[in-house]
Amino acid sequence: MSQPEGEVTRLLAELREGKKDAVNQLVPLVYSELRKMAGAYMQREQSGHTLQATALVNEAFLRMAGGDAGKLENRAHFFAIAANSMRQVLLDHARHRHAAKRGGEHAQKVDLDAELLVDHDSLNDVLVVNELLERLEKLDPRQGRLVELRFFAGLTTEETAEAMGVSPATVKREWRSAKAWLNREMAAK
Amino acid sequence: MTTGRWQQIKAIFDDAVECDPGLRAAFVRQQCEDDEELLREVESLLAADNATVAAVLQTNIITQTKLVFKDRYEIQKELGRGGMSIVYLAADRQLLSKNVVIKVLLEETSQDPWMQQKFMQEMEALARIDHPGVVGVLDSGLTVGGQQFLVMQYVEGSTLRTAITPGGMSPIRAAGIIRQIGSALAAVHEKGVWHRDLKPENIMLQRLSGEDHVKLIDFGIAGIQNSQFRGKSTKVAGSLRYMAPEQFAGQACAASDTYALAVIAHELLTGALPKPQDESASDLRPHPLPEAVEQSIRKALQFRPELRHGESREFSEELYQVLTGDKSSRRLIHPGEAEMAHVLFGALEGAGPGELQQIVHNSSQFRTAEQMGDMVSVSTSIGMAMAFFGDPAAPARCALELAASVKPKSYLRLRMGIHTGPVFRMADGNSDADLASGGIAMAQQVMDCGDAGHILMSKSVADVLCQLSQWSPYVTDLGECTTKQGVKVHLCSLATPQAGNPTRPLKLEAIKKVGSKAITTVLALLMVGFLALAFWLGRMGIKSQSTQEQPSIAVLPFLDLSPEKDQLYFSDGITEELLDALTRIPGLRVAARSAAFRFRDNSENISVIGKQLNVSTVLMGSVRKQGNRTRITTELVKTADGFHLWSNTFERDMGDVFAVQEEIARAVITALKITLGEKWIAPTVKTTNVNAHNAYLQGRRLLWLGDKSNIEKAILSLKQAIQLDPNYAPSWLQLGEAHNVQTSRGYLPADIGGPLARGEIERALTLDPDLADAHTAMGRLKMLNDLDWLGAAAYFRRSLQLAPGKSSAISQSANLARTLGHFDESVALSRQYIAADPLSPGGFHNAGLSFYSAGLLAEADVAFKKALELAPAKEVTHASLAEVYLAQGRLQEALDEARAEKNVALSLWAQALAQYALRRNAESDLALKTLIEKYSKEAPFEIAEVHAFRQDKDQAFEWLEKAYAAHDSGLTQLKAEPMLKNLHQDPRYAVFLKKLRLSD
Repeated sequence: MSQPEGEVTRLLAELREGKKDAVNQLVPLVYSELRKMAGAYMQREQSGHTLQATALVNEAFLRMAGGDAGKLENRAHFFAIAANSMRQVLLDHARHRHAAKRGGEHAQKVDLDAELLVDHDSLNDVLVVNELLERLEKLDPRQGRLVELRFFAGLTTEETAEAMGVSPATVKREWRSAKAWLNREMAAK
Repeated sequence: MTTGRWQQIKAIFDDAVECDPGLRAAFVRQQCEDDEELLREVESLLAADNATVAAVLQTNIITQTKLVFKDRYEIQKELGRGGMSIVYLAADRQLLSKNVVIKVLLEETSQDPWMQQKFMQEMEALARIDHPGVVGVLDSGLTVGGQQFLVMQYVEGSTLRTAITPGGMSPIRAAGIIRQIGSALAAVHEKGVWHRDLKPENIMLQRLSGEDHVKLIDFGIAGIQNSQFRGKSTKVAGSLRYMAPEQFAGQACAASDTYALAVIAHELLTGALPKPQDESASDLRPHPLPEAVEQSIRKALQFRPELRHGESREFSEELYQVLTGDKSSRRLIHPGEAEMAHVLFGALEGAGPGELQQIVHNSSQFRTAEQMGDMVSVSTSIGMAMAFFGDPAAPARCALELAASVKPKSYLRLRMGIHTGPVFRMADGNSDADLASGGIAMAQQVMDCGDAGHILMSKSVADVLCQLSQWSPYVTDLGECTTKQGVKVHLCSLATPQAGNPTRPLKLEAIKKVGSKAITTVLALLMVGFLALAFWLGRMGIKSQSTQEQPSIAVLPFLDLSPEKDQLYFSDGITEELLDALTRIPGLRVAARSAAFRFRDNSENISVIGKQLNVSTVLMGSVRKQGNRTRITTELVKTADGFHLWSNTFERDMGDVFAVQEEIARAVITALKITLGEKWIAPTVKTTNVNAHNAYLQGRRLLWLGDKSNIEKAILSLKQAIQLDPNYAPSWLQLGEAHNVQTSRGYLPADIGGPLARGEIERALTLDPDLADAHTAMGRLKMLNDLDWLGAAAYFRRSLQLAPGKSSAISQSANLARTLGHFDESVALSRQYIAADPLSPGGFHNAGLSFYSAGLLAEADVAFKKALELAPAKEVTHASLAEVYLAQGRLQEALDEARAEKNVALSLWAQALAQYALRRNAESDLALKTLIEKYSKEAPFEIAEVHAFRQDKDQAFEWLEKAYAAHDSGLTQLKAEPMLKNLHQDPRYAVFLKKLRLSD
């Protein structure tokens, strides 16, 4: 790993102490780690297996926060960042794949070397959900965040509550209306 | 909508979902008062609340397709869902991907204590019972989302429901099935469990070796004595038509299962549910049952449980006796005694497992013979045999009926053979020896002489048939044929205008016929040079000749040893600058950056790295930067034996970094004994501004990270570099590349991003006409945006003159050569590229395309497979492989690859081609139609290709025009795609080429 041991833990601690700037340092670390791991998945898995985002995010946390993994609040903060990064990893990938042509691999300057093992159709879904999510975020930033956590990091109700600092009941309620809204808007598409 | 409005809607929605469903509508209307729009919003939201949830939102896991439970069970598909759970088919990763069934308690229902309890009890019930007639439970667990799941045996077959036919099944078969259910229920009841939901949908029926086997499934509402999971609440549950009267009162017991079994028995025998007793108009029933049967069933259907048979098995045994007892007229045969039988052997291709059996079981000839006890049937791995005792014309009649029934499904390929010979009626069906000898084996050999649709028979069968006058017009004598097993048989063919295949079997054809005209054309064109070269690729990665002949090097990422570990951008920068300098040395093969950077953080031994990268030497080192001082260590190592050819340490001021880089490059040249011609242009000092260089390196590193926000940061950094030194060409080039990436990803509109990038790259070229990468970048713009091929070629050529070892320029040149139809050149460049980057899936894919266009099909096959080996999930490559197989005439494999393609548009494209080649026009039409419906914007060129392949030139040209209008990058394939040769003679082709500036 390129970043020194414990750096993530230190940054998470700073975040807890209210140093907002820590986020800016954490995001690129988490993003590149997730992408690297997604790429490694590809090399490890021999056939047809699909990347599982939750597993990936969990594993990233264990790798990056190491011995400090037990601290639940750290985990919540980490997941909150990971959700956004995971969304970005998938979106980049989805956009990249959209352009697939037989002879179109005119080596880009920047190539997403991690050929994520995700299904084509679900990537299209990712694009659609992302578009809707951007709309929801404008209407209700908190609810948008909640969807991001549940959808892109695969957090459970309790974990989401922890990451957002709200009660599980609130998460459940907001998730339900968000899901209904997304359902309705997707059907209208 | 405003934020406030959404909060208002949400508040009403939240309350409404908590509301009693009966009062909900009224509540919402009252809350919304006169605000019609608000009412509409809330109502539509409520409608979407319980509507079928969009697939993508059903789980918490983003990659919807492959849910994996316990890191072991990989979900394949949904088999069904009920009120409380979803049932999936899954593959067990730890057991060779064996199929299992997984039942997951729905998130919504996991809150309901009764459903929770029932779910646990199902697990308990299944864990208690161990009987071949009851599905086995294998495992259980929790999903990441905390939902409970059960893993059960997967039972291949169909539910008993599919065996129920309007007229009812043969009494003998029904008797066997009911008896088996009865004995399974006995085992269930013995363990203190009653099923409570017995119905044909919950009983699986398997046909194994021609015999029925049943398995009870779904114990989802089973009752269980002394359960560990007792709960307070009880509910009335079950399926109305199979529920015993006492179940409605919540008093289910073992006899309730007897009741359900009696309903099922009635259904199996008559095809209909029993009528309530008071409507005793039994004469109205389509199939009146024999009195004894009727009586037995009526007893099991008694209103009061205590009046029914004591145990379910008592009923099933009784029914078995009365159903089979009156068949005493059947001849008794002793085991081991052979009988002469007229055997029909059939094999079906293009069908799922069990489909042949289903088709056969549905035929009236089969059913009649089975009911009469005049036939036995055996399924083998190849197909299915029916041995008819008695009527010699029975197999022929049955064959015609089967042929007619598969006719509407043109994708099914049914072959049949008929032979009269000895058969062991009492054989257990599992003994291959019994099958291999005798009439069945011979019938199969007869069948094997034919093609799809053929009904062949041995001469002796035909002779007997021809004695029956109605058959002779349909029998053709084919003469002698030697079977696969070397047996000589005299064959005849049976074909009527409705069924059978009137053509001569290929095996008997003296001159082989060739496929459709279109394929012949492509084949003829592509077979040229098919075997011209040995498998060059096969030698890759081993100690290839080129390793010895040509000096080669890989620059591994330099380590960042700075105390803050924050100089990655700088250590990477040094690595890349060195790499750039080395690519300028003619005659030196340099491993591509993408290949070498795979070994960052890698502790692999040098010889392994050397092998993987196919290089004889490796340059590595470290950077330690503190303030304005840098310390660079470097060593050059031979990969074969780890021998240090050269090493050095430089401790300099930042301003001297360029000089150090040049010094290292020169040391490499000396160590590798490369004689430099005048051609080598040493990397010259490009900026004297250390800060500008720093900002440039930072931007370059961020750009490699490649995501949206990092690209934005890269742009900021590069702009800063330009501000510090506006004459530093590399900064301008990277800025142009950043804008290029933004445009191609859709972060920036093309009409803004395109010109921006072009201006910046032009600027870089003006400032430094020797900047190789800028020439490559400009060439790409010319090629893809302007369709200016000659212009592009000139830029690439210049770039390769400046840096002959630069792999990105090599790959672009290969693509361009292919576009221009210079296939020899593109093949040579492709080989050069994969030698420089032997780990790149994209590189091998592109090489495969070059080989394919050049007609080197075997090499194309190897290259595409290598790409898939490096990246199993890679898109596009399967489609290209399909094309290679089409050209080779391996049509079925082509179709398989087409189906394996993950890019939906290209999968449809390849299927349309393969199906057409297989002469399945309807399937081809369907694939093309879907392609047009879904991807007319993205894939006009591919649509044109399909039309061309299908000889529809007008449509092909029409779509080519659309591709042109849409700037479809597929047009770069126009000359390279052999499939389009159909169009070459058409005058419109020349015009179109001219338009694309591709005329020679």
